[in-house]
Amino acid sequence: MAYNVLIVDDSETIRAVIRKTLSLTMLPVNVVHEAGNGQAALECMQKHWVDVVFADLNMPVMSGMEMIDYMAERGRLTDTPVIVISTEGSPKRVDELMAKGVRGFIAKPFTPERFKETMEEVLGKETVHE
Amino acid sequence: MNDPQKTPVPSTTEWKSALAGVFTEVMEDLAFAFAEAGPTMADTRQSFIHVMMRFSGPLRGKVRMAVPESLCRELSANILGMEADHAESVRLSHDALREILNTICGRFLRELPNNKEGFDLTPPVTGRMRLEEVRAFAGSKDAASFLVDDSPVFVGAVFDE
Repeated sequence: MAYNVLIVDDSETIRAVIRKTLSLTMLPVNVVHEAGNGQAALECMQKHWVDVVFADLNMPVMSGMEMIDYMAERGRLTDTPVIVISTEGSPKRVDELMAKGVRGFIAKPFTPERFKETMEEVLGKETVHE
Repeated sequence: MNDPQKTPVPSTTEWKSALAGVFTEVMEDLAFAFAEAGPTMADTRQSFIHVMMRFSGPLRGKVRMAVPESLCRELSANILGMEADHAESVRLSHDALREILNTICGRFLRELPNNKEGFDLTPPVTGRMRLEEVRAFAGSKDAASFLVDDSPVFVGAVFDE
């Protein structure tokens, strides 16, 4: 199965780097959507099927945390796994995210290996290699 | 009256040491650039870009950086895997600089003593710097100086008391 991915980051540079990193993992990726903040991401998810979301936290308009809270309140984090990619990786912040239902955390800067490991952990190793 | 629960502001020596380590790592890991201690005076012939962001949590304050525009383009190109004069890396050079500071700030705050809690960051903001502003920043006690790929870069932090 190939995955539809949504990258949420206000930095166009980082979105380009994540897109490139995803291609380097050799994991089956179908469509890659992009959004510059949480609000745009929620709108994207209303229009398109998304299998996994990679989201930054520190963004204007609607932060990653606000987007996660919105999804958690509506039970959407179960169907659509969110992996946070951020510099804000204090143990307390990571625990807080996981308690909300976030499925993975990747600290910036990241490597293709870390991306691959996290996707396999979140989506299941067998699934991502089908 | 002093608040006994308040997180003490790190000394200049403490935060400059933490910032130097983080700056060098992030330049290498994110921007594939080599950083070393640099001169405390700016080369006045260069045009500089300023980037700043605020943080709040157990400690509050701001982190800022002044980078020559030519180096911004180089760092952007490195991150994107493009040539320095590629239109896309030039277009995204300020965006790349904001992301570099965002990464530095996140790591820097985690390195500080007594600041292992979570913190909130504002999105970084970039702008051009006038020559006298670069000189004032470079010479201030709040700045640390580096050479990145032979270009001067000034990074600093200010903690709200």
